[in-house]
Amino acid sequence: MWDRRVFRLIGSSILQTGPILVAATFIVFVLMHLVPGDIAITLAGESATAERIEEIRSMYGLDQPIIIQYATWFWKMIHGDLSVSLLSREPVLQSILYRLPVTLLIVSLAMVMSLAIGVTLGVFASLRPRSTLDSVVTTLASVGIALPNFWLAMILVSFLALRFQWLPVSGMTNPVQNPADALYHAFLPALALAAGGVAEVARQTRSALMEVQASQHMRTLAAKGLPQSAIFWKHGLKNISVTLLTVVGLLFNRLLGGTVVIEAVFAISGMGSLVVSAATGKDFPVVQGVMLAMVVIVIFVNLAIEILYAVLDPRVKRR
Amino acid sequence: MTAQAHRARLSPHISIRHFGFYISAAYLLILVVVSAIAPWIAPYSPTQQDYAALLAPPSGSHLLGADDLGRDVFSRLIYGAPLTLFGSLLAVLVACVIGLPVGLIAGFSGGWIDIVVSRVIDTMLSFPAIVLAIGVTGALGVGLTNSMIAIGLVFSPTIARLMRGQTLICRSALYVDAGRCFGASTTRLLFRHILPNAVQPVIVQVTLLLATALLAEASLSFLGLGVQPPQPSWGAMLARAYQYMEIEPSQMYAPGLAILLTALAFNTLGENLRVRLDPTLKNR
Amino acid sequence: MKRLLDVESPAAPLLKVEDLSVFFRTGAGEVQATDSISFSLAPGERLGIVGESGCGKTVTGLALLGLLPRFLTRVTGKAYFEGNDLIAMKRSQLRAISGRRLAMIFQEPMRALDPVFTIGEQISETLRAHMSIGKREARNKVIDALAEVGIPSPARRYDDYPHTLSGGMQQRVMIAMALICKPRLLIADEPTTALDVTVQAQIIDLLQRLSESTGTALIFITHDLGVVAELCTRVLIAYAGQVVEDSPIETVYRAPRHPYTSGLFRSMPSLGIRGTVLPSIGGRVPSLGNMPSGCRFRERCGYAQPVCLVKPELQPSGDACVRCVRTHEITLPGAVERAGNGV
Repeated sequence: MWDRRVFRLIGSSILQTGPILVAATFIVFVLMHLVPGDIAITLAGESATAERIEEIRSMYGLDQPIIIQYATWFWKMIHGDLSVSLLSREPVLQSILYRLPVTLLIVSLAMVMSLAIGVTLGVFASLRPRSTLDSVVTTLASVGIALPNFWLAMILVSFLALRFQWLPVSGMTNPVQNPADALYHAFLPALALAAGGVAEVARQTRSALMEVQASQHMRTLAAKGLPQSAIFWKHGLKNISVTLLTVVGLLFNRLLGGTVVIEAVFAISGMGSLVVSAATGKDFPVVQGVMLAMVVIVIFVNLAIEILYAVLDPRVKRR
Repeated sequence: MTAQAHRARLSPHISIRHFGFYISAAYLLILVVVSAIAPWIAPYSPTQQDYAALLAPPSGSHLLGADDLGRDVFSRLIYGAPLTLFGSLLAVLVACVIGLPVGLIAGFSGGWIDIVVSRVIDTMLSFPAIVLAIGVTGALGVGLTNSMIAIGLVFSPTIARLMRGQTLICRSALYVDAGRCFGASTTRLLFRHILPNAVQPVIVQVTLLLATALLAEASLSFLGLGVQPPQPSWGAMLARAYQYMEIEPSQMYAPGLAILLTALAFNTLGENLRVRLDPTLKNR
Repeated sequence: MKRLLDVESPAAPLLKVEDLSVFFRTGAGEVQATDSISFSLAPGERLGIVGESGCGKTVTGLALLGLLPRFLTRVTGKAYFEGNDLIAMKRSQLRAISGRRLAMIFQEPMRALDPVFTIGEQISETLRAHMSIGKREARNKVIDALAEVGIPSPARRYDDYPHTLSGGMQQRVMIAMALICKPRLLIADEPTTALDVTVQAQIIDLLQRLSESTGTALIFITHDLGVVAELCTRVLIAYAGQVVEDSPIETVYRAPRHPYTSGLFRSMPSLGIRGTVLPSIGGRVPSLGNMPSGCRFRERCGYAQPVCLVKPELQPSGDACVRCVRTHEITLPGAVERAGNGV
């Protein structure tokens, strides 16, 4: 399993990650320059004095060529200096690190729910193609993909939290300090977030399993006299694991984006609510910091997935 | 072997698929018509306030009730249709205007241009779409047009990647080489041969993107980054309804359902087109 | 089952197929793929089933092991294997026999092997599905089996994945897997069609050697009469879902009784006359849903008469069985005769 091929693949995946990381930081950096007009004025605020504007200009190095600005920003960034918030004056890295566990908890929980429910539904749908159950799952998947997750969140809150009071309406505790309570608070947001994921996982599991089941090697297994359960759970699931892994990669990205809206519904102070308030208030260092944190997480998750590909599927050579 | 062919003929799904296709097309057509004649069919103006009906439940005079400012929810839903559709179309248009030429050039020229463009595409797709859109909106300034331009920009790599792939396929096909032998110019090749062949997959992708754009528009408007008050976008209506959910929960159903149905219609249409245009998918 | 086996007399056939018909369910109703296939097979016998693609030979093989998708097909008739009817068997009963008493190998070994498991694991799991045997012991047995089918350095190959092997080696793995539990019958569905000519000969030799040394009976499904001549003792010629001739191999080569069989010989390149255009059988195999009444070969047959409009039955003729009403009125060229005349 851990032969030279796998190590070579891991090496090449890591090498390919470098340029993407750098490119991502550049996109985050360039973002601020999309601001129409003079950035210094925007940063300083409409009513700022001329001196204040000049002070901002030299503080951010805005009077220098863009490539120098980027180099300076990059240098500071890799040393952990993501500047300070224009509004709260708090160091950006600190506020991100404070909120990161909350967001990651919700995303992970939603991922677990998506996989658990989605794979189960997909498996049952594929066992009896064209049956009523299959039609129900397929239809639910179509609806799930088109469902605005914040609307589902509202409906869930309205029933489960407000009417029956089973779960908290809003808020969050720090997962590091009180994991149990945090999990309790994260359940509803994660459930709302997971709806689209369940739909996507169910759909992909179903079609991948149907394809595998129609394949000739599954017929060989029956000819060998293997029990149905071994054919399905051992061979079927290992054959679709690569598909599932791809779905997990795409889904992680989508769930991380989805938390932004979900956190707003549940008034949770995570990365999402941070970036929304920063974008509204033109607090660019914070916006940049959150985007940077998120894209770095996504890139590393994708790297992990690339490595798992190599381990799970012996045919993967190099992409 | 032959079992595959038989399965396809057996499938009752074919008729259901066609059914879904026509229902979706009809629904979207009605939505477009409603958008065009909104002022004539809406019972009230979207901003007209009825102080006697603050947060009123559905009734004869207000079919879907009234919001916290006494505005008729049904009328706002109707006026919201053109805004929502316009937003989605604008986003997809921006995505195409950027994505199509970039993908075409990358695919056609190959070499280092292609490598750089592909890496940029990969990188942009590493960002959670909505977060990148929020960042761009933050820079451009909030509002429907800006947020939709942002969403379009965020979606453009998807279109570019598709177009690049199509261009590569077409470029390697024989007839493009034949055209080059006869001395056709590069631009002519692009427009006469490659573009028409890439049109079908792009149409499918655009239809599916309309659904995604619609959901993104709703999200951004819900967050207050898209449509600004007092304009009635469905997402913004949900944000409003959410604030008063404990008092009058019924107001959140109609706008949410409208978003769901419209996104579902775009998706159904796109999936149908995909199956129709791609014969290898017929059996699924 | 064990007891039943003891009761059987030594002369009893290993497999006796009676009126086996397979129907495909389609949107336009049922289509009959095979029509009352009947034959029997003695222990250790090697039978070839020959026919053009679509004649129902593969479907028959799959039907015997219950490998046809159940909700799309209907199988009627009987197939007694060691005295028990395979067609009437429950899934669990069939599973107990499949891979242990009765095994099958397929046309494309690359697609028949699971790509994400090592070949050793795939053979070992067959062994362990049927016998209570430890992992290590199974591994040793698998390595022996791999050596037996001629795979070099089998202990190293054990942990290889199918895609790292050549087509011929993959088919050897399939054979090792099929024979690991020492079955009484191996059904080989065109096992050499997808392979290079030189490799084909090696696989045929291997099958012959293993069949002889273990006493495993063989049903060899192919469209190649030449291969059957080398390997088998008896041949079943199938046409449009029916058996048209069932003969010992020498008989069929010397004096085929059915015009279709004779036509097959004439279109064989190895036995044809050098320097002449190879004759082929004119016309096409009728489609499943649109079978002609009477003799199904009638429209392509050079000997057809009005009497052929009546459906012919499979009838004994000398040491063979033939489905042709005119078989006694006509003399057909066989392979031996042609080769003698030509060279």
